[in-house]
Amino acid sequence: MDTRSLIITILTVIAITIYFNIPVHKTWLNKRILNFTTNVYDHIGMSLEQRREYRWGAPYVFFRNIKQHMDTLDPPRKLVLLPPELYYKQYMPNITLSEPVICYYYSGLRTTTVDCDDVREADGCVYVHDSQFMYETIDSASDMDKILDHYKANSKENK
Amino acid sequence: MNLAGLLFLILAQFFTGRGLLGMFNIKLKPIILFFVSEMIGVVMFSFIPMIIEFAHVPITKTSVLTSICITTVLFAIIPFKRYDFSVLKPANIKFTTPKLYELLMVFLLVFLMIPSLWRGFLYPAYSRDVLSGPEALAEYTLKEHSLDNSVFTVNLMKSTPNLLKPPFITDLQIIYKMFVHPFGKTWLSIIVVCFLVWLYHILREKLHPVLAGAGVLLLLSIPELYGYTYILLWDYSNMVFFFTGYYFLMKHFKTKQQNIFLFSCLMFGFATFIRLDTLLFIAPTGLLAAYILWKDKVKLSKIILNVALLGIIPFIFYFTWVEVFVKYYLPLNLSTVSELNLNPEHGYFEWFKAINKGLFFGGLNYVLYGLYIYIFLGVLIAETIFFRKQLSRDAAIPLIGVLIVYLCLPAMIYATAWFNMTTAKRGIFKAFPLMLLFMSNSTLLQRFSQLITDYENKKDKQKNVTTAQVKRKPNQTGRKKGKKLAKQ
Repeated sequence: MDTRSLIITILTVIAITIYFNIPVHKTWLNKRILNFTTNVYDHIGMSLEQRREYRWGAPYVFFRNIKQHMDTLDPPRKLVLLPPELYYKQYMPNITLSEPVICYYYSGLRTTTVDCDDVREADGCVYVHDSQFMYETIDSASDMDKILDHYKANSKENK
Repeated sequence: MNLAGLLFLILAQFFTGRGLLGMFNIKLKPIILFFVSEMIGVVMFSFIPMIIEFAHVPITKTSVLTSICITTVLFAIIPFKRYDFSVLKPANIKFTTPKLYELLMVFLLVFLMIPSLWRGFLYPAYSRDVLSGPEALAEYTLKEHSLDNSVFTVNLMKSTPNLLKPPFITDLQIIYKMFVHPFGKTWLSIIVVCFLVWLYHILREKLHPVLAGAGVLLLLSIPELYGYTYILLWDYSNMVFFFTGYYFLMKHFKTKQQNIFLFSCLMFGFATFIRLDTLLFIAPTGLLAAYILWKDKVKLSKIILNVALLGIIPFIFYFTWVEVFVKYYLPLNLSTVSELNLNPEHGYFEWFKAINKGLFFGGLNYVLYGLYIYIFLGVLIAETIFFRKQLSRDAAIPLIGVLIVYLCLPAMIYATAWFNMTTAKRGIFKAFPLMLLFMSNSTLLQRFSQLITDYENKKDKQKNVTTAQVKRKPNQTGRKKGKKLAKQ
């Protein structure tokens, strides 16, 4: 190993150190690279399902649980009405309920929202009770009107 | 993870990509050939499930495996005569011991890539655009054996554009979920690693290893771009193939070989197959090509032919998807042409201003891209002030490429009504490797590189002189000569 190559190596190390001490790159290094080992051992043993839960969070768990519940119902339920954002965000500001196609991908659950054409085809709905999402079946047109009125009356813009 | 499946795909992709390179008679150094072939093989495999669907054959493990084998064998056999097997002879295999600073750079780059590879492998796809489109389609294709599956029966009011995007991600997810891992995604890591190795090699051709490594480090450590080395989306792959198109276009300008030009057009075609709006950036590239060929006194008829090919080949990829597949094979009876937004609420200049303010020169620029754009601007300003008369064509072309991306980005508002700052934020990626290519060809960096090389080689000269002195019996004259040489 000749001295000049060693000097170039040392200067390179210094340059890299300076680069990763620039605030934005330091933050990136700490957040994306160096913190990698802090939870890697916990994640190695995770099952595929646990990894899905970890990555997709509460909406995934929520839709999966509803689907499991719906599968136990007789007669079987096909379409779930999801509440509008203005309604549920005031109780659970950190949660965003996924759009229908993502719900279907997560769990095979078919969902709709109040602004969609097929809203009256829904035979189940989701509402918030005690800061928790609850599932309820819809068996008649009056049930549907009730839940739509409930959403409207309790939406942020109407409060 | 199914390692046998991964190994099978890696080999199959290599032979397919190598075959395509052979068909276009593209010659690369053996190790680089592997990485470039692999990268191209991945994108070529992304056509397979779509072609199976075209043939009305159910997409099953058997049909996909058979198609992969046929594709691999076909592409490996057709250009077989062009393969240069002499590189495999032990006498032709040269190995030079890497210097400590090279090892340091490689170690650092590998170290930075490990979390990306790990996250790519460990977690399922996450981004909303992919979950509401390609990922959902891929998952249900595995269950229902057709791209025209029950996902299209779900309420799609808010998701349609993502389902109508070309099946690049969908198809690769299908293949990798079938053969490698239930989450797919590994193909993205393959593209990223192969691209970075190739990029290092490109930079290494012009620069000292330390600067080449630093260049790759700069690109890899762009915070936003790094995220997309493991978050599944179109933009990283689009950037890679847009850059590949430019790189081979530059090669064509140097060699005037038509095969290289056609290969470049094909790479632009692949980039268009990944993101349809790439056509917007290819159109001005055609003007650039016309201008350079005209300057090189190429026949007018050939210029017209080449510019037409540069437009037509990528357009075929666009047309096949938008006007054939989406129209006749997907159940929605929709066309992505309806996505065009010819009369947007905010026009080109408003978006141009917003993108400049929010992404290039302020706003989130620093958080998203770190110092990368500023380093590029620094080199550009220095080059303009001190070396503008020495600006080589190799530096000018990628610079114009960057300018094209910069100017055309706001025009994406006319291509899709869904265009927003997030789209622009990722659209900028296309300019990043071109910026690096410009910097590596700039007189400033080349002189700096030469300075390092000269500094390093001085020692060798001294060493050689000293060795020569030791070998023969020193005499007065010899010593004097030796001292003189040492001083030099």
